[in-house]
Amino acid sequence: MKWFVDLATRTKLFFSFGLMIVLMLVLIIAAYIGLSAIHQSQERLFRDDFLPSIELLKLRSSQNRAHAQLLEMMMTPDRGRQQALERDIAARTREVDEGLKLVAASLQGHPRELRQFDELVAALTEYRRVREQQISLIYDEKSSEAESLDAAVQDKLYNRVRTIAVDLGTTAIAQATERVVAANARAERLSRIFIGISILVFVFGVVVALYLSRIIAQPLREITTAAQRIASGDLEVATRSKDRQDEVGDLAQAFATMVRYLQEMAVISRKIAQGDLTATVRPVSDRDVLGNAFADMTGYLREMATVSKQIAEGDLTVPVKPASDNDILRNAFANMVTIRRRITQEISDGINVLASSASEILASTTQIAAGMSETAASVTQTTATVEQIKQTALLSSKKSRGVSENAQKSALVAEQGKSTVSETIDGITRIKELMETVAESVVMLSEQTQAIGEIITVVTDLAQQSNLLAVNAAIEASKAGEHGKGFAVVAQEIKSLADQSKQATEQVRKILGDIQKATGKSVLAAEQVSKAVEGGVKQASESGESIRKLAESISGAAQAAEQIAVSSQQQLAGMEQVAIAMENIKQATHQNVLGTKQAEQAAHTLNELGQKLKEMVSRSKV
Amino acid sequence: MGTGRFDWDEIHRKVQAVGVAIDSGYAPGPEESRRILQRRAAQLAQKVEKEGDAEVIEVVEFLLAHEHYGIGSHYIREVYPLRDYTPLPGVPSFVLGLINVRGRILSVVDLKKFFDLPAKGISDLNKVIIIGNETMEFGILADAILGVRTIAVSAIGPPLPTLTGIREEFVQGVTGERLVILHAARILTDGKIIVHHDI
Repeated sequence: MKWFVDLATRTKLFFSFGLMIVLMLVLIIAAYIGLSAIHQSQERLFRDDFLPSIELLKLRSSQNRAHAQLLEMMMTPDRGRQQALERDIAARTREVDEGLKLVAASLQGHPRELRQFDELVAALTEYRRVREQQISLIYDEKSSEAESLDAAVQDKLYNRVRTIAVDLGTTAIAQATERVVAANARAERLSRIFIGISILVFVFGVVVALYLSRIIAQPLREITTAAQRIASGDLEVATRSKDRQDEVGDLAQAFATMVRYLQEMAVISRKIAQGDLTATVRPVSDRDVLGNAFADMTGYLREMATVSKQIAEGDLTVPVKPASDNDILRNAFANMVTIRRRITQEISDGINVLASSASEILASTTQIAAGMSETAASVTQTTATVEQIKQTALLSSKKSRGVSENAQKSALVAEQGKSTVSETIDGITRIKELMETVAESVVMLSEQTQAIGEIITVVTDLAQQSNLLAVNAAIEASKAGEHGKGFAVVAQEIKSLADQSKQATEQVRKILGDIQKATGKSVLAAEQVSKAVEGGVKQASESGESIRKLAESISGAAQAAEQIAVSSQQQLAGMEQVAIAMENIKQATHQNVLGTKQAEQAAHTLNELGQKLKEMVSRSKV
Repeated sequence: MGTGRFDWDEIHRKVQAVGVAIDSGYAPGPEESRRILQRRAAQLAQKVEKEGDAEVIEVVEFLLAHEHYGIGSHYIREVYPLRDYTPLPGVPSFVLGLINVRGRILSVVDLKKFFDLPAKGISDLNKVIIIGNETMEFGILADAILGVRTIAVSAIGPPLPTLTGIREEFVQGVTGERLVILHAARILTDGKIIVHHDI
């Protein structure tokens, strides 16, 4: 089968499907032939068997009708009717003739049946001849003769025709049945042949399909699997079917070439990844996108390596132009160069400042050395002054102690004055209280006077009532006439007593008024005394306050003098400490002079260092 | 305090004396007693000389707006202090109101309205003189009751000619001491006093 495998796929497909189509054609032709045979047999069946039998039936029917009409003619005396019936019989006779022609045609090739047919025709012809006689007899109005003729001859003839026709029909139907059976057998044979051929064609088709699938689809599936592995990054794939001459073989070979190309590219990538930029990449063609990209990449990396080397050698003037914003490496390099340039510049500036500062420090140190010796002289003078201050402090301490003692004595005297004033205030307050008691008593007296006044009012009322009583008594006495005279005197006496009572109460009221006035005066006087006493208390309190303030200020003065004495003492101690400190300062100044000299030396060294750094920085190109 | 010393001992003595006097009650001295007795004797001595058989009447003397009036005690039932009175609406202005005298309800007539005298306020000091006869009984308002006097009929002079109308009708006469004697019988029977109004 090697030759089939090596055929082009198109040819393979053409060959296989061609064979299938040929087989199908054979099947279709066989079917067509079978179908036509059946069709023909059916046609013959119809023409040879069914048509004659039908025609015979029709013929019999027409013959029957004609015979019936002949009988009617015999019965009918009406000439018009007889003529109409005769015309009808003629028409039936024509129909019978036509049927006979058709039957004769269909019976060709059947000698037995033809013989029967000839007998039929002969019988019919005899029958027609007798009918002519009968018709003429009927026209001659000899119907009875015709009837007898009919009974004698015609009826036999008629039956004979009918028998022969029935015979012929039966024969035809029997033949038709035979033929149908034969046609059925034939059709069954044909269908069996069809089924056999169809199974053959189906089996052949399945075999061809399976074989094509094996030699075309399977290798393609293998290649697809390999392509999927490559897509997932696995380049270690082997392909078979390379030695085939058809399209599948071509595909396998192209696939192997691609795998080889990708493996080469992977090797180069690995080298680049390991930093080996010596690998050269030659693109297979201008359209080799991957190869060209690799060539560009190695070129780019080599350029960057060169730039790095230059920067490392201190050349910061190298130009780096990024291709785009996404060119991260070039951007980073450009940034690095810029930043390094700026840092170098700043370091250079810083060193310049350092150098100038160092020289300034040198100058300052020299000045400090000069100042130090002046300080030493001043310190000596200050020490002498401190000794003098010490003497003064001693003197002021003694004086202030004396002042303090005097002030304490004064404070004692002031305290005594304060207590005296306090006693005075107590005495005056007592006077005030007594005065208030007097005023209260006077007021009480006044109130009692009021009570007396009320009593007087009652007495006045009594006097009035008594007066009225006396009048009524007098009236009653006068009514009594002579007997009431004595009573009238008594009434008069009562009246005069009432009048006297009234006068006495008037006097008492007047006296009470006087007492009231005197009470008012007494209360007023007591109030004035009370006020005067309050003033005295206030003044005494003020004197007390003044004395207290005096005592306070004196004791303040005593405290101040004491404090002065203490601070003078402290001052003395402080001055001694100052003298010691001055001695220390003197020594420190001496040490400072020495230190300044050392600082001067250090400034020199610093200056030299600044100069050296300046030189170093100027070496790098900016 | 002042220049002169205050004699507290003198003061104490005086206060003690007053206290003693109050405790022992008032007892006038012999001279005081004699003086009182002499005055009473003088008063009693005046009365005797006018006693005679001349016709006299007894009058109750009272004050109406500082004028002295008298009314015969014969017609007077009693005198009574004006305590509570009930003003009566719908009566002439001379009817002051009603009073209750021991269960008797009496009307009080103010004579000052008849005599055109200036009206003073009514107070507790006012008195009522209740007069009456067999048919009438009512009170007369008085400012004050001075007492009962006995006057000789001869001493009563005719009323002043200036008095006209009601005053002339009611006044019986005037004494030398300008005491106006009222005609109690006429006042009691006068139709003007009787109030008979349909309201």
